[in-house]
Amino acid sequence: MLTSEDKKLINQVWEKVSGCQEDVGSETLDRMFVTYPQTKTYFPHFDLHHGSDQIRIHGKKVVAALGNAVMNLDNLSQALSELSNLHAYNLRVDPTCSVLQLLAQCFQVVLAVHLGKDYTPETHSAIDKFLSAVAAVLAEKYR
Amino acid sequence: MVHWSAEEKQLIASVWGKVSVEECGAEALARLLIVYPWTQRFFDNFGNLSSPTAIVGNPKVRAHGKKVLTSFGEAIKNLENLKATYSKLSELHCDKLHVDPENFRLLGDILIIVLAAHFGKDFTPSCQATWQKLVGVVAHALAHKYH
Repeated sequence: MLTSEDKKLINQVWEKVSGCQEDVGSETLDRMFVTYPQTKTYFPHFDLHHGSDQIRIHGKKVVAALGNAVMNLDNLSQALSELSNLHAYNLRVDPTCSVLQLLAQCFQVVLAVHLGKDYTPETHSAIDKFLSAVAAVLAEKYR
Repeated sequence: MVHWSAEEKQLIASVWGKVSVEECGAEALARLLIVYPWTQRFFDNFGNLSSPTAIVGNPKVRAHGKKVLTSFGEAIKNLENLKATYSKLSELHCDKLHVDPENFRLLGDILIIVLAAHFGKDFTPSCQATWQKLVGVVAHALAHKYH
């Protein structure tokens, strides 16, 4: 459950990365494909080389969706409803093998790289909770 | 047996050479207790764990964090023989400490984030990939003697 302090910290982080969302997005995906090659199976149609346009564009999409979630922390289920349908019925990203967790880990690594000491334990905790909540909503409609 | 390429060994050594075992160990353990508060169940006798500030400043947390990461250093010295290196520790975590091996994975992921925060851009994707492999293999070795 996100406390009001968590929400404050999440918003602070979002402000800090608002200028480099595209970089954060593509770096997250880049790291995910390098660190967890099994995630590439969801993108057979992509050029997955470092710096590819497709990764850049998709990364931007992912971060924008997370940004939408940040603006709707009190109502994630509704805000992410379309995406939840997409992931469940079209993309069918396996929720059980924690693919979304792998993405979350890489996203946190990128935040830590960018924010350094500012990625405090409290911030880390808030973001971890937020990403878990987002993953849970995305997996809501699976069955 | 896990295979380590020359590049992976180099990435492990170059990061490890710059790590303060005491600082990183303390930070990783503190974050585990803060981000995943249920892990506090293993540390009832550590005193005040009532808030992030208390946890970060807790001397027992710092000392134990250092111990854990020092042991990690042993793994790095014995990459070709991790299961044997961690045989006794594995039995200890199973028989005496009763720690669910899932917690080793959580701590491993946290260590990666601590390293990323310390090293910034130097913690490249290849670095991360190698270190995620390492923490995964260590976690596996620690779980190996569970029964």
